Amino acid sequence: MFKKVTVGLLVVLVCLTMASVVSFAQTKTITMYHAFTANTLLALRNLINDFQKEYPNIRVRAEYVGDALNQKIQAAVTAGNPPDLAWLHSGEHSEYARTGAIFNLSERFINGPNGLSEEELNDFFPIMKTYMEYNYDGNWWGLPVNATTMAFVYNADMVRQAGYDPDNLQVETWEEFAEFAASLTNARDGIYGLHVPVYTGGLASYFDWFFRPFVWTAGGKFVEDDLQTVAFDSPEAKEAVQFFYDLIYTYEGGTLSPPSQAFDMGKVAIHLDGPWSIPQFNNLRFEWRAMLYPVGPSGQRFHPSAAEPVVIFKDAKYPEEAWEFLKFWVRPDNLAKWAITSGYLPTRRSVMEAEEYRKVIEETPGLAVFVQGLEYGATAEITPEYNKIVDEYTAAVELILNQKADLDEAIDAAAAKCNEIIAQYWRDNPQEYEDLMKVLQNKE
Amino acid sequence: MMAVPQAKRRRQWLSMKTEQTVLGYLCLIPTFVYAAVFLLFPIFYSLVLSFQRWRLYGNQEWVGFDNYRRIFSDSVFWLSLKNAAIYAVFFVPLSIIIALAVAILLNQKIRGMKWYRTAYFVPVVSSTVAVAVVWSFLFDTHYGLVNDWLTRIGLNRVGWLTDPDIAMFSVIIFSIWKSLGSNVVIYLAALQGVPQHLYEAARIDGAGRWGQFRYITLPMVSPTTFFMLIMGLIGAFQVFEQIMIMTGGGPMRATYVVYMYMYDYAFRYSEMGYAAAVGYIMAIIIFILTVINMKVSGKFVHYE
Repeated sequence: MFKKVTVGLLVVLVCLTMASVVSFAQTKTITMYHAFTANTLLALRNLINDFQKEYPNIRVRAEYVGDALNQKIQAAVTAGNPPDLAWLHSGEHSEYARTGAIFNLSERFINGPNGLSEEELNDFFPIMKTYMEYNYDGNWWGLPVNATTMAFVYNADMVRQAGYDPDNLQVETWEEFAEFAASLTNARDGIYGLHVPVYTGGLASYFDWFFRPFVWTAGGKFVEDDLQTVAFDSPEAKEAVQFFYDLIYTYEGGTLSPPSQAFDMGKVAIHLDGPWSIPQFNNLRFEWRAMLYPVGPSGQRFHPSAAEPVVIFKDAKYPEEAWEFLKFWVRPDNLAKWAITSGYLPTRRSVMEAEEYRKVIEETPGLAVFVQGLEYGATAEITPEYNKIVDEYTAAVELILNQKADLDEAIDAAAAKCNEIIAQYWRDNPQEYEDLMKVLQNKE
Repeated sequence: MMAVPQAKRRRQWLSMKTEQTVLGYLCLIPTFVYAAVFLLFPIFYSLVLSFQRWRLYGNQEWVGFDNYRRIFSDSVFWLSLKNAAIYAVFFVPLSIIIALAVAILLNQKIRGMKWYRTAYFVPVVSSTVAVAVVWSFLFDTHYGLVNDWLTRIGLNRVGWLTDPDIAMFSVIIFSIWKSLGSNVVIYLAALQGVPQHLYEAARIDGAGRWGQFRYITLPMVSPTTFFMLIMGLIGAFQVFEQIMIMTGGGPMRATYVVYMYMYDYAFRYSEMGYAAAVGYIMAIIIFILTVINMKVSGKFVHYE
């Protein structure tokens, strides 16, 4: 009897061992490089746990490579041993696409039998597609997992006191925006509707996010399509500067130099910011809401936006499994959880309909506006000598808004200087110009 | 037993004098290597770079004097040079005069003198960035302590860092405060080196306090004053950190100085050759100013 039981137990043990060996042999481990920290790292852990419940045979090893993400990836690609996937900063996939290091997802996976339907692709905000392309070729070279944009955040308590309903704000046009800012201003007490930032130097790009969308909504452009001259001296673009001049001096609704932390202190009612500041807003002593960029004379609205992709490498060990993981990641229910925990904006519209995300929006009404802003997402035009051009433009606008220079004269002088800068740049880099022009032809 | 013939053999191979000379040079090697790698090479390489176009990536292209020509035709360069000159013209003499005044006060025999001397030296050892941030708060137009005092005595608020006519002077005030301690220490050393018998003789001759200061103290510390003038001038044209923190070069480029211009070209516009050329132009300007100083100094510097 004892002998039989022992033999039986041994047989069971051998079977179990065999089964686990077979199962281990079937498990494939995919590697992903990333630079996530804090809440985003937590979101990644949750995502991987969820994925492995559904796909027990695929293990995901997420490797944090920190600030040196690009160098590490480049080194790994050069050594012929890249990870299966990697998260990249906005716009950084172009170089990998150009050098052939990553898959054209459209060709390799999306259009295949285990791909994504047209409906699913259209569910991504339109600006996401623009970001995932390379050289305007119409293909997806990565799938966007994180999105971001800016919006005008306002102090709901001050807005209520000014006679507006903060939950049903009817501020759509430039004029309404200026009147709204004016109604929130009480200059005698040092309280202003809007802070018009006139930063120069290293902070000029912030100023650029502020002004460039207004140039667009006025019907203007920052740079001409042939990239030979700037376009911010057009009558439409000048109208955007005139609008802020009027907002400050005619409507008396804005200030150029508010106290530090003015929005937090209740000294400025409207403030341009991104969703990354939402945790801070939630700690304010007053309620906050957000509003979209106003519609300009062109009848359009634009929000400067960005998207961060996850890409799959051509030399990946398990590309199919990597695709499975990526597809799982961008499923609306998973993207909702991801966005809630990480704090990034969702990249697909249907996330807004997910129950979990709806609950978060109910608790943080301003968040919905940021997501809605992605519908109007736009990217900055290609701008040769970007920093120099923005510096010259911001320096001119600063003089104008401080009433130290005439609008036409200052903008025209800045444009003339910028045109010289651009001409010099193309003289020095003719090949780059030729390559860019070829790319821009795809866009048309 | 074996050590003796070995020592003998070594002495035969190298004479004592040669051995010491070789040892001396060997000890100097680290310093020479340091100077070659961190001083001579950058000086020479940046000179070469100033005649090249190099955007950090890609090839380095020889462009002759093109960078220099572009600098001289850029109005922003001249503006930044003018701003640096304004800073130097006010900062250098004011910092010297105030340091001398404080040093004379601290040269008295009063209680707690060591504490005062330490207190004046604290800003020197503090991080410029950290204290510049503190001064930015002090100078805040709306909540700053300085404007708070002004309004308490019935005066209007001043846009210390936001008014283009005032901002440079706010930075100068900060810089004087920051450098005061080191200047005072140098002056104190100079003052303590003035022989007391000179003052005694002057007093016997009926000289008052002003007379003693004018005819004894000032001439006796004039080499120190000259040293501070030269160093102050060099430092003034290199001012950067406090402006970067307090005003960022604004408002309306009112505090945009040459080293910010150079920084922008090097690190924001990625034009290394151009930035190197700006550096060389500044080196030449500072050299010329120093030579002029040395020529003029003969008239007011008295060496014992």
